[in-house]
Formats: sequence, C-alpha cells, structure tokens
Amino acid sequence: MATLFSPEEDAFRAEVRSFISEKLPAGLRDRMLAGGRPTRDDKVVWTRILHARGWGGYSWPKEFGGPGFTPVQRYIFEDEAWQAGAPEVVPFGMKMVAPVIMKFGTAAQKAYFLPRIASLEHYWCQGYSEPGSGSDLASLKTRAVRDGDHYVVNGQKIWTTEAHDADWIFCLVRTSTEGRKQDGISFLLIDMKTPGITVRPIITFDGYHEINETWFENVRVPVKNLVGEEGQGWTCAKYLLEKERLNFGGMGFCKRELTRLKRLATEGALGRRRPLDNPLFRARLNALEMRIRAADLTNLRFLRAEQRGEAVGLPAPYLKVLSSHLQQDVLELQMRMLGPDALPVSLAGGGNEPLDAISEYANVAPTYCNYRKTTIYAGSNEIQRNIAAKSLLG
Amino acid sequence: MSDLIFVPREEYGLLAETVSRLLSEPSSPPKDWKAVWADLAQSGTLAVGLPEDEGGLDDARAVSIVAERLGRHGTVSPFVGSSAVVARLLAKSPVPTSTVDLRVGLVDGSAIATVALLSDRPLNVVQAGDKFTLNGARRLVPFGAEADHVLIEGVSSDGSRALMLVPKSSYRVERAVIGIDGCPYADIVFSNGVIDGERVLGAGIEAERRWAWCRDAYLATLCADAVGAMATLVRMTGDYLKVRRQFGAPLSSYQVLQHRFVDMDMALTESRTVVEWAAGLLDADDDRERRQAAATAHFIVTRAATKISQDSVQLHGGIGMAQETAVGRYFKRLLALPLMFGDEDVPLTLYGASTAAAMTPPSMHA
Repeated sequence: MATLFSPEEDAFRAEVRSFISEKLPAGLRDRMLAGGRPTRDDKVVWTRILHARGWGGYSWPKEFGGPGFTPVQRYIFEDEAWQAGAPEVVPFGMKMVAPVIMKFGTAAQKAYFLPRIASLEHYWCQGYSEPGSGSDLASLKTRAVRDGDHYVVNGQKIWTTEAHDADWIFCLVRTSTEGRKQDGISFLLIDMKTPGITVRPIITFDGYHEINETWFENVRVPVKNLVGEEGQGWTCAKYLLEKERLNFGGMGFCKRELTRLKRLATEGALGRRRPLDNPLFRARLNALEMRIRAADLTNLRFLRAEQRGEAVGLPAPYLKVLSSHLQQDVLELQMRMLGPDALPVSLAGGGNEPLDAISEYANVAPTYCNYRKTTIYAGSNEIQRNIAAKSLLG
Repeated sequence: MSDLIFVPREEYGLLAETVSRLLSEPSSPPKDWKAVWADLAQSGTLAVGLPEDEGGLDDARAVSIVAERLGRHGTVSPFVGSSAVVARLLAKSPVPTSTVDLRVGLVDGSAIATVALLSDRPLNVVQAGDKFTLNGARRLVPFGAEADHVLIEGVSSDGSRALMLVPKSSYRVERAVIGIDGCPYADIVFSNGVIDGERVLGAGIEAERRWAWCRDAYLATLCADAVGAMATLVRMTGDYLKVRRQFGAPLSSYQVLQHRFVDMDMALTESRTVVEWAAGLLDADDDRERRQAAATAHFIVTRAATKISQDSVQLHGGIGMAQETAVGRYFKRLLALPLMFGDEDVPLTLYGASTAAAMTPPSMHA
C-alpha cells in the first residue's frame, strides 16, 4: 500500500501540532473554532509567536530568514494551524509582497522590508483594483510621475482589504501611457503614513468593515521604493500570482468549518429535530465532505508535482475555483442547517456588543454573506476560467 | 514499501506506454478483445498487480494505470474482473500455494476470471464434507459467458457467507447480452453445481471482508478506466473546438464554450486525484479508510463522468450524435460505472454511515 505522507512528514506534523497546542492562546483558539473573525491584534499576537520560533516567514527559503519548508511541509503546517484554531496570517506581507521583493527587489529593500514582514512590524495591504479596473486590471490609471528622487502618485484604489489596519501598501501604478498598457505599469511600495493618503471604509453587506477605498493625492514616494525596473510592474504581479498559486488558505478554512458544521449538527440546542436524523441533510453533508476531500487532495497532488519540479494540470485557476466554491458551500450548509437559529445577528436597542458573545450562531449568516467575496476576489472565477482556457485551447 | 500517493513510481511511465502501444488509437474502432488479451498477456501486463516473484509490481496503483489506458483507448476487456480483482484476491489469500495454477492461467492469458457483482438473486451454498453444492443465479456478470471462473458470494442456510471461485463447469449460461458500454454480460445459473473446498476463498466474516475488498477493488479500477475514457473525451472535445469554425471564428474563441470546456478539464483533474488516492489505499490494512477513498472516487468520478460525457456531445453539436464519431462510444462506456455500482446516491448514503456514527456521542440524544 501507499501513504499520503512520509514518516518524516508525519513527524514534522507532530512537531507543528505540539508547538501550536502549547503556544496558541486558548481564548483565541476557542473564538476561531467558533467561527469568529480574527482582529488585527489576534494576527499580531499569533505572528509574533511564530516569529519567535523562526516561523514568521514560514513560507520563505532559508536565505531570506525562513525555515525552508518543502511545499508539502508548508501544506502540513497550514493544515495544522487551521485545524488547531490559529488565525490566518496576514497574506499581503508574507505571501504576496515578500516573494516579489525576494525576486525583483534591491539588496536594500530585502534587508529593510523582509525582517519587518516576518515580525509583522509592518502590516501590509494590496493596492491593485481601481473603480474602472477590476477584472481588466491592466487598464489601471493611478499615475506615478517622476519628480527628482520621488514619484508623485495620484489616483484611487478600491477594495483595499485591511488598508485601515496597514502600515504599508504595495501598489500597481501607471508610469507610462505609451505602448502596451501592461508595459506602462510599475510596482511601488508606499508607506501608509505618507501625506496625501486617505482611507475610507466600505462596509460590506454583512455589516463589517474589512475593505476600503484608498485615495492618493500628490503622494510623494521615494524612487528607492520602486521594485524592479520602471515598467516591470505587470511582470512582478504575474510572478506574484504564479508564486502564490498553491498558497490558498481556502482548503484549511473549509476543513475547519466542516468540523464545526459536524459539531453543530450533533448539538442538541438546535431544537427538537436533529439534522443528522434527516437523510437528505446527511447526503448533503457527505457530498460536501467528499468534495472537500477531493479538492484538498488535488492541492496535495499539485504540491507533490511542484516538489518534483513538474508541472501538472492548471493548479492556480483550478484550486482557486474549487476552494472558493467549497468555502461558500460549507458556510451555506451551516446556515441552512441552523434555520431560524441563524437569524439573530445583533441585539435590538443599539447595544454595540457583538452577539457572538451571546450565541455562537450569530456569526454564521454574516460569514455566509461575507464569503460571497471568494468567487470575486483574487481574479474572479470567470477570469480564472479565461486563464485556464488560454492555456488549454491557445 | 514506503510509496507515497501522488508520487509515481519510476515504472509507471513505461508501463503506460507499453499498454498504449498494444491498443488501437482512441478514435479507431477497438480491436477484438481476444487479440488484445493475448497481447496484454504476452507483454506481462496481466501480472502487474501480483507479487514481484510472479512478475508483478505488487501494486494496486500500477493496476490502476493499466485500467486508465484501457479506458483511454476504449478497449473492451475482462481486465478489471480478471486481473485487478480475482488474480489479486488469490495472491492475497492465506493459502496462495493451492491457487498458484489458477494465477498462472490468469496471467498467461489462457484463463479468464470474472466477478458476479450483483447479489440480488439467491445463491445458496450447502456444504457436505469437502464438497459444496450451489443453487441459484447471478445476473449480468461481465464476461460471464467467456470467463473460465466466476467469483461469487453465496449464502449458507445459517446465513453465513461464502466467497468462492466457481469453474465454468459448475454453472450454465442462461442468457448472454451486450451492454450499452460495449461489454458482454451474462446471466448464469447454478443448479446443483458442485465445487471443491479449495475453491472457497473465505467463509463467514472473512468472506464478507474479502468480498468488500473485491467490490472496492472493482469499483476503484473501474473509476480509473473512467478517468481514461474522460481524458479521451476532453482531448477530442478540445481538438474539435480548435478546428470547428462558426460565425467566421473557431469555436475555441467563444467564452461560453471556453468556460464549459475548462469545467470539463477541472472535473477530470479532480477525478484523477481521487482515483490515485483510492488505488493507493486499496491494499491498506484499514478497511474504513479504503472504503471512504473508494466511495469518494465513486462520487467524484460519477459526477465528472456524467458532466464530461454530456458536455462532450453538446460541444461537438450534431456530429457528436453520429455513430461514426468516437465520442458516443466513450459516452456509452462511461455508463458502466453508474449503472453497475449505482449513481451518486450510493456514496452519498454509504460514505456518511461511518462518519455520522463516529461523530454522534451515543448518550447525547436519548
């Protein structure tokens, strides 16, 4: 017979598991396993714990201060972290801007930014989308005009996740309007404290403040914060996508929420009728579990291929499409199972205390609403299919 | 063996190529199965699942690779029942020496074995000394008229099970038919058929356990065959989209068709994953793990097969309906899995039985 993991990988899993169970604060763990959303502080606390163990940049190679995990070790690490109730790390720094700096950045940029990303001294956000440039990202208009040792940036970014929490933003900006639209784009690192930056909240229909619009008005950015050459921004962005193709936290989230779904399904508090006694509900649960298993193992299969240095299939678009739908579907089944118990989300009378504190069920419907985002962000699923079609059909 | 699932052994590439070379092009009509069977035997392919000292790789994953190729080329053969299930069951049996002659025949192509999968007719077993007498019937046995041995699960008068490999002299073929998948099937009848004790491969609980393994081995290998057939449909459909022009442009330039095609390829990708997983766990010591992997493969592959076969015909348009196009042949081949093992409803019901029981605290809901 064959196994999914080697004995060495099983030992690594055990090491990660015991580290997390020892170090992850119990209160934080319990909130996460009850479907809570991590705050900025939660993420800082957890990242600092990882950092102290040398795992602040856990997806990084050794030469940049990471532990040099194999792709499968990284998968195991994240799987354990999700299932144990750790908050997800801020992806914009460690998983997104850091690999671009490693590949295209100057020695000075590497020396300054990477250690601060690993320790989360710098909390990052991403400035890509604009009001007129969503799926057609290369049409972006935010201008950066050279003025001596600075670029002067004017324009507007939108859907900037956690811009209100961030110290730095990496932006795609237009440095030229000549030639191919992709060739006039540059990759710029901008300190959020620079004068001229305004962050305005966009409240999503779940009632939460997660995303923003970010305005730039004559923002002066030192030229030393340009990554790569001027006009190389699109190359950086594509590299980032390629580099991050197998780093979706999506399947870890699905497995964690599936476990919660099963727990909720066995709880008596749900009323007179147990969901598990309903054969149709059980069939839905089984279908979901088998689909999650298949997608999760497909992720592992791609990672094994990556570890062998082989290209197999279309990892990025397929994992994005599969995991985004599964995240939505597990939340939808949680909500439908709860039925009327999923209705109450806040107390009448304007009390500001979160209902989470009173009922675990209060976060279920809002999270279901919030996760409609997964099929839209990071290249909508329609864009993913365009990318896949280009590769399959030329 | 410390093999890792999703990490192919070195031998697999050569094995797949060897099998493909013996078979006709996927778009051509298949060769006569007897000729193919002789070629497969000659090349040593029928032994791949057996222990290394019998010329095999002792590896269910290698068996899965052969099945994928047979599906990919649209080859009709008794490989699944004979090589993937019965030959391997004999090799696993606790007294392999008594079955060594049988195995030699199955490997050199001189004999064929099959499995009576459907147990919906009574088949009674009465033991007298070292002899067993069989009365009853089994229907729609794949290659039932052609096989030399059929594996059956019968029932004794006390309700206990018996797993037996019955020689064709002990049953008669009542009706032989050709299935929509192109495979021959037969209804067979046992009337006072007498067999020797050495043909009994398990009794009681042991028979049930081994029979469950046989069903999962058959199912997992049929899923691998389906992945091969789906791969051919995806390739044919992609090729067609690139050459067929309408409104002055190739079909592949239309986004609505691109996205449908991507979804077909994505379903194939997921199916490959679960088939490799199920094959990797087929010989696991843990029956429950094996069962869950096989059920997941059943579910994911059946869904994908339905989608890919229906969409392949749709994207081909009218020509996809024509018998001269190979698309229809693979469409029909892919019906074997859901018709013989049941559609998605079966894994949807069975998968959870273990899961749900395990997660329900017994005292919680009086």
